[in-house]
Amino acid sequence: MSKQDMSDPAAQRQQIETEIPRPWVLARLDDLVNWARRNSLWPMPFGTACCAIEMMAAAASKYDIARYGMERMGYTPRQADVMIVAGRVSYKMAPVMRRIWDQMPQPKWCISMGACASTGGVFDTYTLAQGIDTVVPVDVYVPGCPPRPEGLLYGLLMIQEKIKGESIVDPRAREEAPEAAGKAHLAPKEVELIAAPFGNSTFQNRVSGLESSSPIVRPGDRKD
Amino acid sequence: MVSSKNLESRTAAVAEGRALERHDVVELRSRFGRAVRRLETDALGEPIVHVDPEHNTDVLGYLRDAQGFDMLKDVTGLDLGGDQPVQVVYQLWSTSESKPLRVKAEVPPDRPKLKSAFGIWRAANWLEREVYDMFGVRFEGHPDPRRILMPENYEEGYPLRKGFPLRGRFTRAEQTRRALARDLEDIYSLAELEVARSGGRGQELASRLGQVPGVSVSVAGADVPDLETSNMILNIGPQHPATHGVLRLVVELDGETIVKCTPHIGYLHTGFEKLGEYRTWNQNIPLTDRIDYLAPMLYNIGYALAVERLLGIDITPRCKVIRVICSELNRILSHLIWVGTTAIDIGAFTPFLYTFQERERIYNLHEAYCGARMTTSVTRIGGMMADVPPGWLDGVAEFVETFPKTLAETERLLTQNSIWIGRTQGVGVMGGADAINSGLCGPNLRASGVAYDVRKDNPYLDYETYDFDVPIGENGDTYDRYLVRMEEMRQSLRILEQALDRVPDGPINVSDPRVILPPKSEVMNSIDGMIAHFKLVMEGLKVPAGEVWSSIESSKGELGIYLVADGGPKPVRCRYRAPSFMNMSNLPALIEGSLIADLIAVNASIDIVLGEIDR
Repeated sequence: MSKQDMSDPAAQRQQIETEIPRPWVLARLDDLVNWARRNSLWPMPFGTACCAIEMMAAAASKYDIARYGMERMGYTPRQADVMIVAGRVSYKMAPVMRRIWDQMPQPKWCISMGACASTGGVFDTYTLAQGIDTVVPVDVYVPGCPPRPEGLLYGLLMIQEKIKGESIVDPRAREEAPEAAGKAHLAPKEVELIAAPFGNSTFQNRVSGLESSSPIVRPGDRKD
Repeated sequence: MVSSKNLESRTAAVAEGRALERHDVVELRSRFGRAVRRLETDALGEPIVHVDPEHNTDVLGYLRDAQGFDMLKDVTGLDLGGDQPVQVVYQLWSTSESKPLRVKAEVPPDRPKLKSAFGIWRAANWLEREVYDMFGVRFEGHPDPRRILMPENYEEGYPLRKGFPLRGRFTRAEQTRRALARDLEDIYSLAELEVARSGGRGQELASRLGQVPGVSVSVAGADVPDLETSNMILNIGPQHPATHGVLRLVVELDGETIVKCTPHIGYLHTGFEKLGEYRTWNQNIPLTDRIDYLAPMLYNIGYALAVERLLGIDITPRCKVIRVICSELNRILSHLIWVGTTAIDIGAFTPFLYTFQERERIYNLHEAYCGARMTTSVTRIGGMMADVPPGWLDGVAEFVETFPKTLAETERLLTQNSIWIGRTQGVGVMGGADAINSGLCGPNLRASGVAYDVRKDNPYLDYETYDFDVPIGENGDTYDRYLVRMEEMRQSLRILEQALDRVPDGPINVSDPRVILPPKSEVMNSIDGMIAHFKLVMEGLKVPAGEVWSSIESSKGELGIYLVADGGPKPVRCRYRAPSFMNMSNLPALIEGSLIADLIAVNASIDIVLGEIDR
């Protein structure tokens, strides 16, 4: 291409339009969409207990969640992308959480912040859901009791990483069966499996084939 | 340095029964005869009066009217398992004479029934509902005998009864299914909907306020006779930014006036009290952090103190001062978040950033001491998890020196601010006598003009040797509650200054091998040390049979801890009387008759933490 051609914008545009193959646009659209999505994630802070205070600390001056474009805490689920479940979720609270999750428009992600939200934590009691993943699908688990604000920020960065790999033409990525709304996320058998006494640690052993560390069954402790 | 009091001498003092010769107890016995079944003393030598369940309200009413027990601190249950009767425990306090009294009534476990003390102390309202919820004891004459923490359709039983398994009766899958099968529209209580439909109590209140419902409206000159009007029900929460957690408020509105406000709690119910019965004495300490996560060390200290009182040991002088420093730091920590979030609720964002800056500095001190920012677990029975690290006290001193500047800046933003004054003055008023009767506590009670502070009235950790004032308010409104908390932070700084001056040298833990693990050098080199270590690790700390109701002044109010031991390594009952629970139960009384906008200000002003309310 000569220098003269470069100075003519019309010729330049025509050259670009003819030289670039069609599928290129679709591939780049994914990048564009994902870039837009991951840099303006609006959290829906579902804070219940101790972790909520660390979530507030992440939003306050020292940690400043705004650096990642996530300072817009939307208390209405209809205008939010990421539900951050921070704290213990009791069975009394579970339907409320499920309702809020169902009200959020797609695409949406969920962070389970802290030990209690992820597994029930130390509270293996009659009232606490043993992990919110029995109720809603979870994308990122942030460990800690409570996690430090850095931990939550890292969790949000992991959501960003996850979004990077998504494609808008992949129908499986964000599909949601309408009849699943208001229902548990896991089948009863799986709920039992991960919510057994000493929960996830034995569950991990079981999936790795270590049958010997099956959960302790105490007679009379449970009426099936 | 061994400073543990001799256990034998303590039990001897109890056996002497000196407390039972107290004139009020003697008088009670002579007056009520057989209605007073028997008398006991607890681990502190304080009297316990067992009354006949048929006559509980007679005795309680007499105690309030004739003997000056004007404060009902706690109503709770105690189930010892098997066929033994369920005990209902009333913890009373006389503000004029500064003395406690515990009254117990035993009811049969299969058909537990008692008369409600609501007519005597309004504080009994939520406390009795909790006893019903957790133990199944029905209170006759209670105005609102519903479950309070568990869902209303909970079918698994009464969680704190000994026969109830820790994980509930149903499988986890069934519990999840039942939870999600609930229609959220159904959880408006029927009573509220009924009230809305009929006008009910709303009309009564509305006419009292001078507003006539069912007004004749004139449309284009023609009279339309008596339009049917009904009150509006507004649901706030449980996921709402202004409820400070997972609180749900259902308010019934006549225009903008609140005619009825019903708080629904229990959305964060975690089962601390049940779990406490399955954990050893020291294992309970990490759980206490998570009850009040805004001031975790206060709960650590309150719990450790209660167990130490039950054991009858005295902690070392250094430990006492370090605990005072931790207490006051956490009081500031909690009041700071209160100022920040309340200001956000009322419309000012800046104080939140100011106060969180200071909170981060206290968190840094927490971290330097115990490694955690928030869940500190800093105490052990008989001492602390470790001595403070070198330089830590200098860090506290620096905080004490520099913090007043931020405090003054925050005050400058709010105290004279006309919006702040307009939103808070004269809003949510409660008088002193009402406040005592209905169980308001902490800064809220003091804002109503009652100078009751556990640090002064029933001192612990040598608080009587510190020079500090108890600020009280004049009007009992939201603005006074703000002023009292600001002044309390300044008084906490005064206590911190004095404490820093007097931190003594010496060991932080008692050197009692029954309670505290011996140092590793002793464990490895002497048979005595090894045996003590082995016994403590394998068998756990043994606490002699007995019970204690011990309290400290937490940042929210009086934190009472009622422990019952049977000589084993775990508590039989581990009750936390949460100050926020008592304060929250007063929200309807504070808000009914005011405008809906004030609800947010008043709810924020009573300083609640849902972890503590729901436990």
